[in-house]
Amino acid sequence: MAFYDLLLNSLKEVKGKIKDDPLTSDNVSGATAGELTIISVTLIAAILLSHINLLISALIIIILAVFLITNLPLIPKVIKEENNSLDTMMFYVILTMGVVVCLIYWGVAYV
Amino acid sequence: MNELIPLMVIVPIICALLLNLLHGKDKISRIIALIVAIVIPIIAIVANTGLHYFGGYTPLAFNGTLLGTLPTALANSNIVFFHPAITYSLVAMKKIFIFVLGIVIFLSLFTYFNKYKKISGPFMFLVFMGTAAVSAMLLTDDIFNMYIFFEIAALTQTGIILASDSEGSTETALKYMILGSIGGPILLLGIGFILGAVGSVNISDIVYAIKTNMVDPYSPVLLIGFAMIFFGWLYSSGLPPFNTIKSLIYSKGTPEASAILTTFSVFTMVALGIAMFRIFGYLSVYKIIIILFALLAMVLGVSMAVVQTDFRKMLGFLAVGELGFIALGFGIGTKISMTAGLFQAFNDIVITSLLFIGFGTIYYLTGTSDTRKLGGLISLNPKVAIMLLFGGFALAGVPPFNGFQSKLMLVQSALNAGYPELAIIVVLVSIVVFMTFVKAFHSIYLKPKPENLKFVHKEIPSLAIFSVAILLIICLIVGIYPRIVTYGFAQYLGGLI
Repeated sequence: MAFYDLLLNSLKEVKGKIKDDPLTSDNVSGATAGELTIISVTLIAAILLSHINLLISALIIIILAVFLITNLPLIPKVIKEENNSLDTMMFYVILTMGVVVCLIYWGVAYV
Repeated sequence: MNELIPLMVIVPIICALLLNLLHGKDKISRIIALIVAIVIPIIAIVANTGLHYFGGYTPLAFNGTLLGTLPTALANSNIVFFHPAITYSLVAMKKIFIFVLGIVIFLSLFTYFNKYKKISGPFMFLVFMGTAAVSAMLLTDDIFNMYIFFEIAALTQTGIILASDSEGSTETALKYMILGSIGGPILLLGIGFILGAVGSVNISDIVYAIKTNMVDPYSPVLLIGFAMIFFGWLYSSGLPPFNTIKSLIYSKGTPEASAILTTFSVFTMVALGIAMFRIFGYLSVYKIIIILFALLAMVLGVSMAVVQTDFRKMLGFLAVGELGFIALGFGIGTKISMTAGLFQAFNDIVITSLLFIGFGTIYYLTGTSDTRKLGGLISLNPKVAIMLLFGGFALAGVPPFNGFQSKLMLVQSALNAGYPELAIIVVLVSIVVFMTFVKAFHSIYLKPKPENLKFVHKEIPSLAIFSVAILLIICLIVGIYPRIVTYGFAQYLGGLI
């Protein structure tokens, strides 16, 4: 139950910072499902890159796997980032704009 | 009767202005609003498919008299095929969408009138102005005209949240407007780049110019234009990074307002999505970038929804997550996947409206949306509970409802296109949607009723039950006979792909 405890403690910490609500088994089961969804979808999506280049796909899967494992639990971090703060939203908006322009402008030449 | 095409925009605009003037005169406002809400789908059915040239200005190639007066060099050039004025086009696909828009507006207003004794003129104005804007976005073949109505739709959405007058709605509306002040101008700049490269803002002209190599299809100006239009599309649809604010506005509106807002978002997403596909569908990077954001929306939407203890926030995140399915259909880019995407968009409008109005009855009764404070409500009105359960099934893609058909079609299209990974993700995310919904349903309806649960109202408004029932019937009929809508979508896409 190491992963479960890790998730529980992390959620308690995040919830404590956000509001005083008690932590229920509902929260933890939801968070576990969210956690597994993020990990599985991310890794399966990385396999998609094999349609472009097999080597890049393998490399990214290894990097992602290491990144995901070292950053467990993920859901409290996602909750923190997906908050109502305008600053956070603006940060991601600007970041996305940069990513989109780079991907389209240079992506056409390499895909 | 192509003259009826612009009426789908003009009638709601006139109604909006009238209702604003009639603020305070509730009885007449209700009658006008309901009549117009019924008239919109009727016009959509009655109007002939085809084109409507504003001012009667057809392309020069179709005007023999004028063509003969032109210098030979000009008359023999491709310019004669360009559209000199705004053109609206109506096809079966657009008829279906405008029909369902009218139904949702009608049912939402019906429920709103039943709940509140005094109705708000500005709110009604915003609803009809938004209806006109999203209808125009879908009908127009002019990307600048689309931008104008995109801005109107964004402003009306902000206004609807403000008019909802719930806790934190002002702050949320302001944030949405600030983010819109980035998304809107960037979209406009993108359109400017396209205009600079092609010399026209008509979508058919742009496609024609690219296909006939009048402009370099890989010109940096066109590519940057695509990036900016794509960014505007992310904002209007509520795909990441705008998923947080979009889910927040859904959760801050009244249930009827949220149902209308999701419908507007899906409309803008479909209208701009189709325009982007027509113009930039030839780019190899087009598929990749759309699939990337679709997956992000799905995973973020569903993983955030599953951890929520507030059912309004949960629905907001689920609605955003469902948009990812639509985008995925667009991203795979085949005829069957695009049909699945449009079918999913249609289903999304019906199902999320059903859920927002249905769950709104719980908020109406108890004054809370916190699932931890709720419980045992099935004893109060089992009919509504069962209908909501079926609505949740439709959302998750359980047969025989419409959500099952569109998701199955999406899975099949992903497999046919050679992307089994996407098919697995669609199934996986649908399972989590199902779990999220069942968890919320259990908390609200099945677990023991908390002793301190107080009721603000005694009974659920009868018209809210009626609206939920009608929407559920649509889910069931379309689930059993999907060809009612998919035939029109496939026919339209057959001409594009």
